[in-house]
This record gives sequence, structure tokens and C-alpha cells, in this order.
Amino acid sequence: MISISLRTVVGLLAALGSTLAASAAQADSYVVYVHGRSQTTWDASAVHPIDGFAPAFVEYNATTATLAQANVDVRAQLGRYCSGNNACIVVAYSNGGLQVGYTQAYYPEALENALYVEAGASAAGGTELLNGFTSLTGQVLGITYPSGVDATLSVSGARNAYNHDLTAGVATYHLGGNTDWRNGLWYATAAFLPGDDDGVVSFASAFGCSSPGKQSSSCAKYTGHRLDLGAGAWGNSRRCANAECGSVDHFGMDDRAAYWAY
Amino acid sequence: MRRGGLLVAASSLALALLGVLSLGRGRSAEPRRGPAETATTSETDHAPEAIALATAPRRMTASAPSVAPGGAGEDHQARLTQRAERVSHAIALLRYPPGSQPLSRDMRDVLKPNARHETALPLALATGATGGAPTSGELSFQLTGDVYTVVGRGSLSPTLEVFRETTPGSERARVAVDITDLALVTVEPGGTRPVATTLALNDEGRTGDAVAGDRIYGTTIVPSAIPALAAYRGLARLDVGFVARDGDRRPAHATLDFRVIGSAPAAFIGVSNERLTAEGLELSVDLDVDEPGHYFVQGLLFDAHDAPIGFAVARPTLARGRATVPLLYFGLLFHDAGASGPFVFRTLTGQRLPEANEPDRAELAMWPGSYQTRAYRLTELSDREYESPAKEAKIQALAALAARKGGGR
Repeated sequence: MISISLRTVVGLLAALGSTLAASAAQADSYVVYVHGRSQTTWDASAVHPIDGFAPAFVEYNATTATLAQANVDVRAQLGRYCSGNNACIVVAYSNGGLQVGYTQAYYPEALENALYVEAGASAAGGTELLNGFTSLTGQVLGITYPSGVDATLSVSGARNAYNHDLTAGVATYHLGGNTDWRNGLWYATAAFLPGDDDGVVSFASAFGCSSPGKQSSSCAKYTGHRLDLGAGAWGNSRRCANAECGSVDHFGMDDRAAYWAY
Repeated sequence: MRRGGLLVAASSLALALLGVLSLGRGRSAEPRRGPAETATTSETDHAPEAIALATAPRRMTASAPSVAPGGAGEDHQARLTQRAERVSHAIALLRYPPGSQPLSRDMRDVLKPNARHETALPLALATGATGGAPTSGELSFQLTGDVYTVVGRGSLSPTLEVFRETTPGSERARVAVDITDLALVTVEPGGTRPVATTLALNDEGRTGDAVAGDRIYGTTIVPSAIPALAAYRGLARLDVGFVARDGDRRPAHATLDFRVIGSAPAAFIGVSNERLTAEGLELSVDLDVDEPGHYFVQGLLFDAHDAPIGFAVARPTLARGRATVPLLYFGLLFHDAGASGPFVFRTLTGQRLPEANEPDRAELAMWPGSYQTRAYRLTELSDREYESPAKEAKIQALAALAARKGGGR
């Protein structure tokens, strides 16, 4: 479905060329990768180049620092690549989705020239695994960081961390993993996570649903958030039909987000 | 070129692309490439500068996307169409300034800030077992509360209930519980620190338990009345040990995290002024500021029938003392909502954002009041869309991206 706004606009395209050529001269474009919890940088095997966009990697403390403390570094790096003369596409994975959302809400200037955010397994809505610390939480996530990154990764913590309907004028497109019998490892976490999930975050978080709990990918979403419906190519090994990446667990979603970012 | 002209032209590019896509059916297939192929092959020659659309018009006329009917070609076309639709999405998103946005009933977190979101879990998980989803007849538990952050003299009322999972929507068949342990700790970088209290999670209708004998165990935590929390800012946790008087009676343990802002950095006073501007309706919010710094302020606006209109935010830097913060409700919000005055302003929230050396934000207590504006007519409010150079540049760049040939890798 094509929106009315596009259909009603008529062509003046040719007039753009010379005017824009001058402004383009000093601009650089980046695809900016924002990693997840407990990582120190983006997984190099999950980088998929986009012509004309130099890869850039946001690095931050995703363990012992709080959301706010880590965001000092996150927004500084986002601002370097996504504002001023530069523009960017942001690829955010898991806790990276929470970091980018926090930036959109409180420090929109850092994302002034961001074109859109491609979010894989976004943890912006938190995870029920961290609603209460249990022995199983530790088994699944390894070391936990109760006063650091995990302090805002509970569902209540994440949803109260900032207004998720503030976009900074930047749309977010979601892809979410959906485990099944082929991902037997995640059976243990299924009891924590309402509805479908990728073993770590439920659909409510992965798809930017405005309500928590058991949700489908077609849930009502935060302002500016949509499914990435362009990732459903038949025969593609990274296919995510209707933005749901079947049989892909949480840890495979950084690659999907990077791949479908363009 | 006049303001808006670039936007129109960029939008036209996307429109043209969509037209090309529909005409392109039947051409050669161009499936998406994997990373191994893309390392050596490029379908475009765009340099990083291409983001500013300098070459987009030329490329648009010189090279139309090629797609084939059915199979990979159809999916590739879907991808290209999706890219074009991102332009229209951005246009829709940027109809309003980023700080003044439509409010809808779906925005639960905005309409009801500071809510908690714990779900019921199988009791087995609290007893150290693992397993799948609960089945009918198994015991579940839920430890939750009424707020997430307790500010100043506010309170948290935690509740614990154990129940037998029955059919969805039916009333829970609750089970009596013995509370075996109750502790309060602060969660700090060095670890947890015990907090001395006399809390009693009970079902006797005392110390915060709402109803005696309903098998919902409750209490009330008032941080300002607890010496160790009165000046504390950060995460705290309630640890509860309990045994359900049913089932296998295994000891269970659950926790409830909450935030404490012992002393708020500022306090809302109320609305001191309202005025129409060329942009929309501006409401001035007054605060008493104790701690200078960068703040975030947000308020919601409804029509006279309580239908949501919009929310507005401001990110001011405030000095100590009395401060006034303007919140702008963009005129187009009222037109899109079909709303006319008087309007009702409420759910005023805010926080002091942390400096680089501070661990976290510090919330203000939500303003408990509401404010009714004058009865403006819709015709008094501008219905213009938001315009800015950044908006135009973004839409141009998205249009250029959508107009690229092939996969762009």
C-alpha cells in the first residue's frame, strides 16, 4: 500500500541536482552498529556492508554501567556519525535497541541525521527474564549485572526508562526472532516469556509493542515503529517473513538486523 | 530553492520509484545477494556522499530497478517498495515537531507512567525448578506492586499472590501462603546492602495489606520513613521467601526491584500561563528547582471529552530556584484530532537527566493536578505541517536511498 502523501507529490526532481551537489560535498554516510548486552563491540561476522555507507561501531560498557552511564559514550558516538555533516543508518541489536531509544528520547540531537533504525531483537521493552533475579536467569544470561546494564532491562525498568514514543524524527523497523522446536536450548526460558519469543526477549519487546505481555508481531506499536516487511525474500537463507525470523534465537538476530538494514 | 521545495522534489523521487517498480514487472530477476557475493560485486557506485542525494536524480532516470514476476524477483520488488514506503513513513512521522506528538489510547506507557509490568510465573520457577509454561492446575505466583519509582514521600505497595492457573479470564483460585523471609536491600555497584525495616507482608489487612483474608499478601514501603532510604537514589529490591500451603510446599523465593528517589531534584508547581503562538498552544509549567541541571519535562493534553490530543516535551537547562518551562502543543495535533477547547492538561512528569559522572536520572513527583485551558476554536490554531531543514534533508536522503538500483551492497 502506497501512502497518499507520496502519490500526491509531483515531480520536481531534476531541479534538485545542482543545488544538492554542493551540499553533498562534505557529507559522509555511515551504517552504525550498536551492540547488545555483555558485548564490547559488534560481532564482526554480523556485518553486511552497504554501498556508500562506511561501517561504524558504537562501543560502550554493556555490563557494569547503567543505561544512563553507558549512554554517555553511545550518544557521543552516534552524534559523531549521525549529526552535523554526517548521516547514518543505525543497526541496533538487543540492548542496543534500548540504548538507541534512550538517545532518541533524551538526546535527539545525536540522531539528527539518522535515516532510520533497523532493530533486531530489540530489548527496548525489557525482558521478563530480569523481572526477578533467579538462578535460571543466571544460567541463561551468564553473569548478571544487577546495578549495571540489568538494572533497566526488566520490563518495568525498560518501559519506565524513557518515553518510547519519542522518535527524534527517526523511524524504527523491527525484526524479531522466534524460537521453535529447533531451538530446544531455549525451552527453559519459555516459562518466563509471555507468548512468542527468541529465548531472551518476547515479541512485545522485539517488535516495539506499546503494551507488554503476550503480543503478536502485529501489535500496536510505539510511534514511528514498524515491522521490517521487506525481509521476506523466498529462498534467502536469512528470510524473516513478516519480520519474524523463524527458528532464529536471540543471538542470531544481530546478523539478521545488519543484513536487512538495507 | 524555497523551503519545502526540496521536500517536494525528494518525495517525488520516491513516487517516481514506485511507479517504476510497478512498470518493472517482467524484467530480469535480481535476487538479493549474500555477503560473499557483495564483497566483490556492487550494483551501485555511490560514494558516501550519495546520502545528500546529489546523484539521485540522474540515477533515477538512468537506471530503473529490475524485477521479475514471482519468486525472488517479487520479493526483491517488495524490498524496493518497502524502501520507498520508508519515505512516506518519514513524511508522516515528521508532520509534527519531534517534541510535540500525537497521543493515542495505545500509548499505555505514556498515559500511565511509572506502571509495573510483572507477569505471573510458574511457582516452580521460584522454587528453583525449570520447565515449560504452566499448565492448568499448576501453581503460579505473581509478585508486583503499584509503582516502579518511589519519589520523595511516595510509597510502594507490593503484593504477592499464589494461585492455581485456571482458564484464561477466570478468577484466580488463590492459595494461602506462609511468608518465611522478607528483606529489603539496596542494589549498588558494590553489591546489595541490607536495609533495616519492620516490613510485614501479610493478609491481615494491616500495614498496607488492602483486604484481610483475600490471600493477596500486601504491605507498604515508604522510603522516606526508612533512614537508609530517605536520601537514597537508585535501585532497591524486596526479597520474599514464602511457602504455598498447597502443592509440594517447597520453599520459594521471589524478588521485586523498584527505584527510590529519596529527594526529588525539583517539584512541579503548576501551569502559570497559556498562549497561542504561530506554532500552536503553549503552556508554561512552573517548577521549584533544588538541583540545577538538564531536565526533561513532559505533559499530556486531552480534549473536553477526555480524548487524547498530544504530548509535548521540553529538555531545558534549569538553574536553582523558580523556573518556567514552555510546552508547545503543535497546532496540527488539534486539527488531526478534530479537537476544540477547552483542553485539559495533566500527567505532568519530569526528571533531572544525569551528568556524565552520575549513575542515573532523578524523577520528579508527578504533578497531581490538572489544568483547563481557555475554549479555543480550532480555527485559531495553525494546521501547517512541521518544516525544518533537517526534515527536508532526511526525506531527500531516504528518497535517494529508495531510488538506488538493486541491492546497494
